[in-house]
Amino acid sequence: MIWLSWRQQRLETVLMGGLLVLVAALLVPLGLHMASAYSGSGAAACVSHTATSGAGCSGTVNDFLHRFEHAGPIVPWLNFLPGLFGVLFAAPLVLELEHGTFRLTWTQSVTRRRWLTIKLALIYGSGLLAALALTLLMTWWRQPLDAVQGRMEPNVFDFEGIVPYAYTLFATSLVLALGIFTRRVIVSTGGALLAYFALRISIQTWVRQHYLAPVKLIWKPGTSGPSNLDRSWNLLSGPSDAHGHPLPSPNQIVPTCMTGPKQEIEHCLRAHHVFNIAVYQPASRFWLFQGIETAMFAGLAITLLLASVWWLRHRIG
Amino acid sequence: MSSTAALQTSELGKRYGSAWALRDCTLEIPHGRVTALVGPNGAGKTTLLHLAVGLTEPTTGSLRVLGRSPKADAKTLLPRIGFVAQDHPLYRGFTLQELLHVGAKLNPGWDESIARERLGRLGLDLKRKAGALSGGEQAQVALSLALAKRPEFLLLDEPVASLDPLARRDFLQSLLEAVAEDRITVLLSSHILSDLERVCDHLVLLSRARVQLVGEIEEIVAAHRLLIGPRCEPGSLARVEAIVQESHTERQSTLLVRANGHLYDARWTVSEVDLEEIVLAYLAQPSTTFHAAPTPLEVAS
Repeated sequence: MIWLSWRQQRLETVLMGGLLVLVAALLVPLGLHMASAYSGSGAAACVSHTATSGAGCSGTVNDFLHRFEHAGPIVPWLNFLPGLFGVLFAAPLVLELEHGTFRLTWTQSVTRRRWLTIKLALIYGSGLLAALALTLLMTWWRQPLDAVQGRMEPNVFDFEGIVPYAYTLFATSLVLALGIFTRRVIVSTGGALLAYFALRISIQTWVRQHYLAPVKLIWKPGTSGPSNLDRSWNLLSGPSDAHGHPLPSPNQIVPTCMTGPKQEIEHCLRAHHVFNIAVYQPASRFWLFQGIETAMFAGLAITLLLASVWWLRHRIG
Repeated sequence: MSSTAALQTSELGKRYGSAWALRDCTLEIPHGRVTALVGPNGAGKTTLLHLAVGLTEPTTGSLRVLGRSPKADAKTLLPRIGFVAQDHPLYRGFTLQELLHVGAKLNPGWDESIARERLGRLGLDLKRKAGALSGGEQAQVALSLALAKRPEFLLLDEPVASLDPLARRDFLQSLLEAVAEDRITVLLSSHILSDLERVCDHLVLLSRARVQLVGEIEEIVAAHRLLIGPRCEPGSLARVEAIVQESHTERQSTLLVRANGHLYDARWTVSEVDLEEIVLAYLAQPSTTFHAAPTPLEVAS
C-alpha cells in the first residue's frame, strides 16, 4: 500500500523537490552574501549593541537594508508554495477518484480504512516535510533581516515559526474536500488554490492585526518614542494631535516650523501641539500570533478533513 | 441452500437521494456457475455489483457474499473475491510490471504466474504503460489482475461494453477458459444479452431497479412457450401459469406464456422461444416477474 501511494505521487514529489531546489538556488547565494555583508559592514555589531551605538550605527544599518531591498519583491510570490505543497500532494488521490481507479484499489485485499490511513499519512506527511524545508530555508536566509526588522510584518510572519505547516495542512484538506466532493482534479486544485489565497490575503490584510488590540503610543517630538518599533509590525505611524488623531504632514499644517536644525523643528512642533503616534503589534507577540493563526488554519484543515473522510466513506462507491 | 449460494440478497435496496437504484432485490446466485446479470442501462446492475464487493452499502435489506457481509467482513472477504469495475480502470501511468507489483503488494493470495502467463499469451510487453493499451487490452489486463488474486468469486461490471466484437469474443472466451479450470463462480453484467448468452448458465434480469427474472437459463427457456392461434380472449388456458406478452390481430393471437407443464391444445401452434425473446418480453412488461425454481422463495429447505 505504501509502495502504491508513493508510486502515485512520485511525479509530484520530484516536481516539489525541483521547486525547492530552485528556491534554494535563489536564496542560498543571496543569504550567504547578505550574512557576510551583515557582519562585514558592522551592522551586526550595531544591532547586537556590542558596538557603541552612535550616529554612525543607524546609518550603517540603513545602508545594509538598502543593499538588500531588491530581494523583497520575490518573497511574496513564495506565498504560493505552502498552498502548492498541499495541492500537489493531494491531487493524486483526487485523480484516483476521477479515473475510477479507487474501485480497483478498494477491491484488492486491503480494507478501505487502511488504504485511507496510509494515503492520508503520506499526503500530509509529504506536505509537512516540504513546508519544513521551506521554513528552514526562509528562516536561515532572513536571519540578518529578522535581527534588524523583526518577523511580525506580513510576508515574513507567513514564512517562519509554525504557520507555514498550518497553511500546508489547510491547502491539502481543501483540495481533498473539493476533490472528494467533485471528483475533478482541475476543479478541486484550481478551486482550492483560489480559496486558499482568498483566505490567506483576507486574514493578512484585515484580520491578523486584530488578534490582539495593537499598542498605541503618543509622544512629543524630541522625546524618546517606543524603543522596539523597528522590529514590530507598524500599522500606523506619523504626526497626530494630543488624542492620537492622525494629522496630515507637518509641511502642510505648520509649514513655518519646518526650517532650521532638528531641535528647533521639534520645539516648534511641540509648541503647535503636534505629537507623534505609533500603532503597532510588538515583536514580543510573534508566538502568540503564530499560535492563533496556526489554530485557525489547522482547525479549518481538520474540519475539512473530517468532512472529506465522512463523504468518502458514505457517498463514494 | 443458502450455504451454497455465492451471493444471497434479501430485500436489498439502495437509494441515491430520492431515486432507488435497486429495490426489493431478493435472489441467490449459486456457487460454481457463470451468472449473467442483464438489464437495460440504469436498471441497477452496477449498484448490485458494488453492493456485493462492498464499494457501497445498502439502504435497506441485507446481503451475504460467500456467506459473509461485504462491509463488516471486508478484511476476510476481499481476498476471496475479484472485481473488474466498469470501464476496467487501471493506473494509466503505471507499466504493466508496476501493476503486477501493486497486485502482489495488496493481495496475500497473489499468484503472479497467472497474470504473467495470461499477459504473455496476449503478447503484452510488461514495460508498456497501461494508458497506452487499447480498450480490449486494458480489459484483459484488468481481468488478469483480478484472476491473479485467485478469487473464489469473480464479479465483472460490463466487461465487454466498450470493446469491439472481436475483442468481446476473445475476452469472454479467455474468461471462460480461466474460470472453468478452478470452478470460479462468476457474475458478469451486460446490457446486451447476446454477449452473455453463450457463456452463462444462470440469469438475473434487472429492470427499473427490480429483479424481474431469475434462474437457470435452461429452466427459463424450458418454461416458456410461444402460442399462435385463432383470436381469442386468453385467460382460460389450461396449464398456462402466466401470460408474459400477448398481441392480437383480427384473426390471430400470439401469446408468450409461462407454461406449467406440457401444453396440449389443438387450437394453438406451440413453439419454443429463445432466451432473448423471453427477456425482451419481460422487459416490455415491467410488472411481470418470475423466479424459476429452485429459488429461495419457493423451495423449502
